[in-house]
Amino acid sequence: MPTVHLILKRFAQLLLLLLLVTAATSLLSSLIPGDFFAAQELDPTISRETIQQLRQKHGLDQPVLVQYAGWLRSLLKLDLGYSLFYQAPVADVLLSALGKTLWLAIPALLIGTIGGVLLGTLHATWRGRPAGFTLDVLSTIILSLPSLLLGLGAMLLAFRTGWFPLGSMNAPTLEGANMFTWLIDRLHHLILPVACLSIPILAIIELIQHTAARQTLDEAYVRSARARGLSPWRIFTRHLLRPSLNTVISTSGPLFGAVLSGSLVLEVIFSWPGLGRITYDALFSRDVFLLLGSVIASSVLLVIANLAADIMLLRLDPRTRSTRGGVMP
Amino acid sequence: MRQLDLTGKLVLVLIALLALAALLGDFLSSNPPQTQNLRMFYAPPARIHLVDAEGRFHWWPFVHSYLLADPLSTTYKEQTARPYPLKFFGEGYPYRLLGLIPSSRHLVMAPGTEFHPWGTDELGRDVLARTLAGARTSLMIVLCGISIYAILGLAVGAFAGLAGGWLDSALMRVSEFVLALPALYLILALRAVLPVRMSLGQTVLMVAGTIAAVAWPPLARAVRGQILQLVSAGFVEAAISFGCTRWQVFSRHMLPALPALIVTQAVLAAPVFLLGEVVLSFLDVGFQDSAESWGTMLRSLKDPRVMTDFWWNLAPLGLVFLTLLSMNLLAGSLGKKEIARPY
Repeated sequence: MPTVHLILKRFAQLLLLLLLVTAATSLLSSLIPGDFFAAQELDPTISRETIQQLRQKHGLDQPVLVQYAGWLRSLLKLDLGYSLFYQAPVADVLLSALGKTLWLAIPALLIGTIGGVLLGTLHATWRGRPAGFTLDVLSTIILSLPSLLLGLGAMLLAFRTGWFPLGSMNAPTLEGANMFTWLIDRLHHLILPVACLSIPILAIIELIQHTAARQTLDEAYVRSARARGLSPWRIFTRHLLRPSLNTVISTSGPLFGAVLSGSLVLEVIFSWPGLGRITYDALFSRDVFLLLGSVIASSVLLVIANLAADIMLLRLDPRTRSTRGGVMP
Repeated sequence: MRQLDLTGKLVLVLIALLALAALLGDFLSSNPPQTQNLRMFYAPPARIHLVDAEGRFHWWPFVHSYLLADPLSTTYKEQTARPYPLKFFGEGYPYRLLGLIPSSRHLVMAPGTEFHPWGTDELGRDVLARTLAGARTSLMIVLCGISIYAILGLAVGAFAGLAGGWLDSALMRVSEFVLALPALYLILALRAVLPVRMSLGQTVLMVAGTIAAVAWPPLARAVRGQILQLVSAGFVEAAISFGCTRWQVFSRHMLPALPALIVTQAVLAAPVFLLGEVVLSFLDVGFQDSAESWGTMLRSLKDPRVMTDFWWNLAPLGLVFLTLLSMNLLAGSLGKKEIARPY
């Protein structure tokens, strides 16, 4: 029952968000002069009539309320409109971009969470030892290195050493190559952006897990497990790792938002044609439908991530199951 | 102040020094940040010598002037024939110290030649002067943003805590909702509806305001929690029983307990504002290129030659890192290890 309640709650949030954001964006954007075709008006080879016809065809000559209502109506049919910049339906553009963003986001999330949880727990057990001190210093430094700084630093490295490709997803010479060469090339292109995206996540997860595991270490049941002579491995996995995991899980939903933001910046730096890059292009070419679509896509992703975190917490931690829908820490 | 440990105090001194350097920017650099010089575009950092080309030792440090040897490959040659000794506290362009006191003294300059200790950018503007002016912009953003953040968080949190009932739960739902937003995408979408060209003051308010608008929920929740604890405190019950009005109870008996909490949360949020400005300006949606800010300076990477040859244009990278590090250390020694949302 709590699961259903949760899903309903998250989707109600999503609907509200979409209505508010899309209404604000499309209504307010009518206040600024100019639209997608404004740039073409400067081109003497395109006649005024053609531009007017194009506006009419895409409905840009209608009053903004009519435009928005039409857009909402087509949204009910899961039609997100037509992207003028990419000359393709918005849904198609977004789907392909989403896949490209996930190429970055999923490895980064996996490396960040698994690495962060392990390091954080070890860090807690190493308190007062040289290794623990080293991690103290390292984690403070890495926490101050956001994706933007890392991305620019990585570009500097790539430019000066030539070990890594300078952005983009695949080498342009790879047309018609076999699957294996393609994959190796893709991995080569992935190294820098994924590293820059995962290091900040790793640092944050490490911090959270470190704090949680240190509190767990002070619990009486850990001491009694030690006194009963259980092996350090068993104590580490059963008595330390599992009880302290729920803090990480409950923050991993919002953290996915940070991953999306970080990947936007990195996509711009590494010219990775993902969701962030699309949003950025849509903003500067005034492609309103594409912009609305990418806000929707990122919100849906985030809601799904939050939902997954909530459900995981319900499954993993029996304490959260007793209260009705009360999973918020 | 009193609860800070040694690291915290040292870091506080470092932050104060950074802020001071930002405020004294015109004094510390000998070139105005806006002045362009197309004969000196991408000039490398000045090399300070003690030994001249003939191997003679000088007792006073000096520089040589740079000459653009090849405009195509942008190589500069030092004119070693003539040394220009450095002068401390020399007379330069006029400015207002701290924006108030008229002055024309500069810390270091080389009379008779161009002196760019950190080199110049693509328009021949002094990188040191621009970095210091950018620090001033960042300081402005952080102070302005933190004030909006504190006011917003305090107002929502206190109102929710005191009102209780459905208002409380509605406000808390809203804060949960804001926490689950794709912040940067939302800011980009909202930026699309704001005019492209804005004055400096408008941009500061816009950047600080948009970041505060997505960053307030943690503060509001913390304030609400504190208020709920205070409501059941003995002295508050006593005050109510004496017939104090709601406002009196809040302003006399609850508000004085909140500053410590707000300061801690503000220190935690400060990196978000600093980095937010850098990211937004980097993405072309913050400050214009004519305004000095670390984010707009980092945009210079769009010229790939900056990465290969003119690396000194990436000076703000180091400063962003240093500032973030000191803010994080300060937050750490304030005892609250919570996460601030990274961008």
